[in-house]
Amino acid sequence: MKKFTSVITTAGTAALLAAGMSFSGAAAAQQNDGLSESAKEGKELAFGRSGGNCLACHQIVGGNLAGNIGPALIAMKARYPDREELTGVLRDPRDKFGAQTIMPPFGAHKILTEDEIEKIVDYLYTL
Amino acid sequence: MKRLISSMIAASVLATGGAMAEPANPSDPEEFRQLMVDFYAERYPDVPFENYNLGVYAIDDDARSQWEGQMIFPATDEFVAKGETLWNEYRLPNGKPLSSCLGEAKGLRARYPYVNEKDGEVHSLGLDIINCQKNAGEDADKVWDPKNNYKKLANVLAYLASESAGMTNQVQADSEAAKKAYNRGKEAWFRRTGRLDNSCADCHQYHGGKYARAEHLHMNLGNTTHFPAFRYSKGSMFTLHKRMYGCVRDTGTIPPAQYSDYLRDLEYFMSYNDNGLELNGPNIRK
Repeated sequence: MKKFTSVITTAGTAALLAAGMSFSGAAAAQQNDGLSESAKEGKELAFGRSGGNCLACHQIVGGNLAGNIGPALIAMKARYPDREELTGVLRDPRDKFGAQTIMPPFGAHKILTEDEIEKIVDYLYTL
Repeated sequence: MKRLISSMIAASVLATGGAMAEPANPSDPEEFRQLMVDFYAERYPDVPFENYNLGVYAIDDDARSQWEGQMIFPATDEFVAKGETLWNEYRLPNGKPLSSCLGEAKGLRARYPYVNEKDGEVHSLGLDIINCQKNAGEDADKVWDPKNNYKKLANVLAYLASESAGMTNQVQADSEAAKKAYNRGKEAWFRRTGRLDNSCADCHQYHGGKYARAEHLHMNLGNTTHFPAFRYSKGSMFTLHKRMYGCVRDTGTIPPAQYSDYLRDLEYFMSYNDNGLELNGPNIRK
């Protein structure tokens, strides 16, 4: 009986840990499996508060407490089959969305380097 | 400038419900204020106008109930008490109290900001206190400017706000100088600046009420009535000018100094738009 209880406790602890992990960065880390090195770096930039900070305005799978100013970043490859078009949006969104867009011109205003933009696009294409 | 005008066009398009119209940019402050009010009446038809002085608590019930709890024994009381002592005990170099050049505390805040027709400038209560001390020959390091004695300035402003709490915000803009100041402030509101290329209107008008990460963006009404505000995320009292300075800085813009012409014009524009709301400072915000 004692053994049975300990099995339950162990299972419970494991379940709790698993549940806890889905709220922490651990789950996000697991999702990194299969990402290229470049896409991983792009994700860090997209989730970080300095640099890309995409989560401030866009919902991204695996990102907590995302803003809702811009559209959710899903199915990016289907929405932007032309990679250059997506890269262009990050460089200067005013070209595609007009001068009224609230999205900052990450390339034109040197918030991100060309290399960083390419890495973020690598990551966005995995969404 | 081209961008500013197109901002205005966007404002008018949104204000008229999406119908493409001539850019509505009335230079008359009252007409433009009405556009600003209509803009949010349309976005949040269920929020009564008088609730806009609650800021985001007007649209976020959970945050509002937390705020109501904080206001039972408000953290602002301590600052009001310190400010009252300062107001009563401080003497200018000529031996007179601050009321000798500003008038009595009761209702003083409710008369600000205003435009002096003679110099054409926006008078902000904080700057008038500073100028009162400077004109009386106070030592530079004893003047309550934001740099040297910010806490004293914030505390006295908290006390003065409490002495006008419950009064209605009624900023006057009858003179030509006042109309010019309002329109300068309007330009500042719609001007895109800095690294992020954002205007005040981008976040606080077109996207006001939405979330940036976990935080609601404030709307374009009720930006001024509750200052100075105790920000519990920072644990300190914020004057309106400190808040504006920080907000502009966070868009990657080299911010104009507190109480500069630029920020006073912006203060005047926002304050005038808040006409009709109840003054509820000092208050508590995140």
